[in-house]
Amino acid sequence: MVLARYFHKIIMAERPNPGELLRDTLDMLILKTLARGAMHGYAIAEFIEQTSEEVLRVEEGALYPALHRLEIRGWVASKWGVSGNNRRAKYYRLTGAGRTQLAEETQRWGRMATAIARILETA
Amino acid sequence: MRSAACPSGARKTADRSQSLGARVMIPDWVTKMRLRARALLKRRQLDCDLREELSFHLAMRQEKYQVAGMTPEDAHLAARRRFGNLTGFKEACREMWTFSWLEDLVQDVRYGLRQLRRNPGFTAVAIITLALGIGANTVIFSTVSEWLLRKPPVRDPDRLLTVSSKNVVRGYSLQPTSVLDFEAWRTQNHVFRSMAAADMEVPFTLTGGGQPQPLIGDRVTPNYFNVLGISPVLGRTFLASEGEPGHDHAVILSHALWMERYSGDPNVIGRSVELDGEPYTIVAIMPPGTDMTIFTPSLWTPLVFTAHDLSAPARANRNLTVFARLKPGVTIEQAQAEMASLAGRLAQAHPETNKGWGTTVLRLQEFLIRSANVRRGLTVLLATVGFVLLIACANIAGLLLARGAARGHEMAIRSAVGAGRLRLIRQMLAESLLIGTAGGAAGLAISVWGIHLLRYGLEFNFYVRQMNGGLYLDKTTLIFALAVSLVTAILFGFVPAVRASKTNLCGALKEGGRTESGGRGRNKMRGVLVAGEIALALLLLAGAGVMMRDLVHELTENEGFNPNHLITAAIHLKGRNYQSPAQQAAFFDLVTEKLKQLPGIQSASATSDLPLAGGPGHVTFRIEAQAPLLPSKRPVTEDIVAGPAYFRTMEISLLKGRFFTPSDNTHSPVVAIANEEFARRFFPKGNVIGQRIKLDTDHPVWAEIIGIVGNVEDYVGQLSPDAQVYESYLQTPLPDMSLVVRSPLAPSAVAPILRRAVWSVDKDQPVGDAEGGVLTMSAVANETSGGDKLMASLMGVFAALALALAAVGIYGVIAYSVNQRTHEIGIRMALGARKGDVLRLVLQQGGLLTLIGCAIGFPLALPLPRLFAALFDGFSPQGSLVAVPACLVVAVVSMLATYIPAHRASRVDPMVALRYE
Repeated sequence: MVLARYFHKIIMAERPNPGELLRDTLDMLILKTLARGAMHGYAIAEFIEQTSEEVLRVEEGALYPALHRLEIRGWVASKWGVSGNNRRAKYYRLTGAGRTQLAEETQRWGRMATAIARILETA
Repeated sequence: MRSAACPSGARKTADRSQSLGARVMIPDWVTKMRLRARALLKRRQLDCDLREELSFHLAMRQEKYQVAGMTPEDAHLAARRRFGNLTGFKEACREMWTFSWLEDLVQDVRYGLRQLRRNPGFTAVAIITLALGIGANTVIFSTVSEWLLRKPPVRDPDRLLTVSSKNVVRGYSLQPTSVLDFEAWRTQNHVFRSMAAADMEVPFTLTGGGQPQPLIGDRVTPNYFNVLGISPVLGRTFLASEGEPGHDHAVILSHALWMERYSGDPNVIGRSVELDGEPYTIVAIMPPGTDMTIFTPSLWTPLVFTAHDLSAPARANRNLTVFARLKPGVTIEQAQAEMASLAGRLAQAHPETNKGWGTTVLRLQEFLIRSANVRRGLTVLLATVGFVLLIACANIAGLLLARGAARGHEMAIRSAVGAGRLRLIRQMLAESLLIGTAGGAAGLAISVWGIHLLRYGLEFNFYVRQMNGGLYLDKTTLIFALAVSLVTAILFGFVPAVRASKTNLCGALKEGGRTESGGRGRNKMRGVLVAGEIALALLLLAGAGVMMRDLVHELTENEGFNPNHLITAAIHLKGRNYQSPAQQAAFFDLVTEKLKQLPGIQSASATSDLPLAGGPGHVTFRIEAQAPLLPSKRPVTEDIVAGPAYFRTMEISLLKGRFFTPSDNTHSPVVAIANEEFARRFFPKGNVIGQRIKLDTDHPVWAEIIGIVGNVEDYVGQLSPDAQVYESYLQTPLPDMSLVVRSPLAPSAVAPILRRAVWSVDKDQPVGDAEGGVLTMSAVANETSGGDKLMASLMGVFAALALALAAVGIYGVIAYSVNQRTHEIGIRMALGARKGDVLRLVLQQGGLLTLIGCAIGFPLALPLPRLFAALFDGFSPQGSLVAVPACLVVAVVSMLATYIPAHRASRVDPMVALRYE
């Protein structure tokens, strides 16, 4: 029994996060979404999917490690609240540091997109 | 999952958001650590929050699907699908919050402990093996820590230097210096802030009340303690005026002497004590711990330069050790250069005494290490125990490899359920670290006992008795033991861990736990390890053999006299009663005459230098029949002063001419006796009797050689004899001589007779000195050869340990392989193989490993005698053939270790073997 738990732990520690590929991008998208105001995880997922017209459809679960990572970094803060249908939900909001980070990320993303576009055009 | 009872404090975490938002300026890692620490404490809280958060998401999604028309079951499943690996994400979140590596470590350790407990045999063997290796290393390292690493107990020890005299031609590098040279150095240098000199290890006699107590003291210039930077615990250091003749009757006591003789009474300051028959005032007590390896004086008195010390010929009397403190900003290299040029100038100005003499400038620590002459011996011992530890590591690695094979199935399951290689390696290493820690702890316990034993072994002469006091498990040694435990754990654990993690999933799982294909590689690896062990054991055995051969050679060599039934005691005549040479001669004459009268005493005499005690000093001399030479070009001989009965007492053979007689005294011509080597070296034509020589001593006179005697060894195991000249003490008396007595009585019976005889002449005269009382000649010999004996026995013990470990190693490999091949052996026997065939099969395997090991070890062992000869003085470079018997011993032992499992294999019952597994 203990052994089983142990194995479980090993697997999980080793398995790459499914959202890994998109990690930085996902972080930026979350920050951007939260710039509109406090939201819970489900709402964030819905918003990203709808806004991107379902192009960016990742496993929804990947959102949560990302949210927790952002929280530890101090870019978002969380607070338990009550959702529209009267359920307890954890709401996230952007902090000051998160806002700065978002600005930086957006700028960098813009520069990169321009660069990539230029390369694709000339090639 | 939804039903889990969440602690009611769930809402409290809400507070975190506010505080977080407000503290954005706090560095990233501080926040992280804080949050994580909190998470570690509120583990349950975190889990509940996480569970609730994720279930909210799933519920929302499910609701949405249901609204779109799905059944609740379908909606639930669809929501889960959409979400992805729930457990995985949850774990990933948790990972963010926790010190996962710490928790993993705790888990690894807990699991490792369970594994070790499950295999008590393996665990015990591994821990004992390692404990022996680490114990041996810790014992030897404690000596390294004390004698090589410990800084001397002076202020700013790295800037305190010693300046010694050096004479390349005569092979001296750390000689003391003369008073005049010291004065020249002190006044003419520009690199030292201050310089002090000490006449070290002067024998003193403390009298007044009870038996006279012989002590060792240093006579030091008044500024000595200021230069060293040592302050007394009581009283004051010497005043400059106490360095003047007639004002020098002040004494500073060591802490040990103060405790021993005055029980630490603070009122002794200002009290008078009698030293060498004269009153001295106690002016200070030094703190404990002022001992500097071999320099362990019990007292200090001011050093006074007499008119004689300052006369030109006294430049040749070198007996001052010089200490110097560097000026700020001056480097030791600059000091070396300055002193070299100063010495060069002195050699030009005073060629008769200083030609060929330079200086050696060393840091005090380095000076002490070189003076104690322990570095090379310790290096060899350290290398030896290092090899023992390597063998121990190889053994444990072998065991782990075997276990890795047995655990192949377990590893396969783990990696099947997703454990990465790194994770598996980490787990295995955690187990190794546990073994390492336990082995280290057990090794420390062994070393406490070992150091005790070593101190017992370091009793054979005065210096090592003084030095062994500092041997204990000090902080440096503890850190060393800890580091060695960890490093060895990684050393023996790494390869097996990597191997074990390299599981062939399909193979291992399909075979259903039976030995998998990695076994062959593992066995090869173990074979390599064992062959290496055998090679190392052979090397150590040969090393110990070379040491022992040299020792036996030393002990069985003809010393040139009969050392049995000889008792000796050092006598230092001091004080007013013995100022004239005639008084000194009269004392020894009286005592030896008295002794001869006593029953049980065959003969008695006195000598300035006992054989085997390290050798007399050298003097230059002139030969009358040859053209005069400059002092620096003159021949050199050892110079011994002895009584008329000395040669008969020692049973030194007379080859030509005659011995001294009592009538060779101050009223008759001065005579001398030369040894065989002297005659051979300086008078090869054999015309030595009747030749006249003049020794360059304080009072040089022409002396006629009247006899030739056999060569006598200066120290045990002397490779080639030195030229020796004897003078009669009746003609050239000395205050410091050793009485020698030949008696068939037990030494314990002779000692009181000897003491009574001395005390009947002078009741205040100590018999023996602080370095030793009444000793047998073999004890005297042991003072110089005891170190060799200790070294040889230590090497022997470590080599035996290495051999035993290597035997265990090869036994382990063969036994394991037999175990693995039981099935195969069963088949062979069922097909008609006989016991002898099976025996041969297994023995061949062991024989091959032994052969490889010996083939590697043998050529390595061949240059050992030459290596030791280069490292140690007086070591014969011959004896490479010791490697042959060492090789045989190793081969026999390892084949015996192979025979046990081979025998077992040959008795395998085919029926049982085939049913095996």
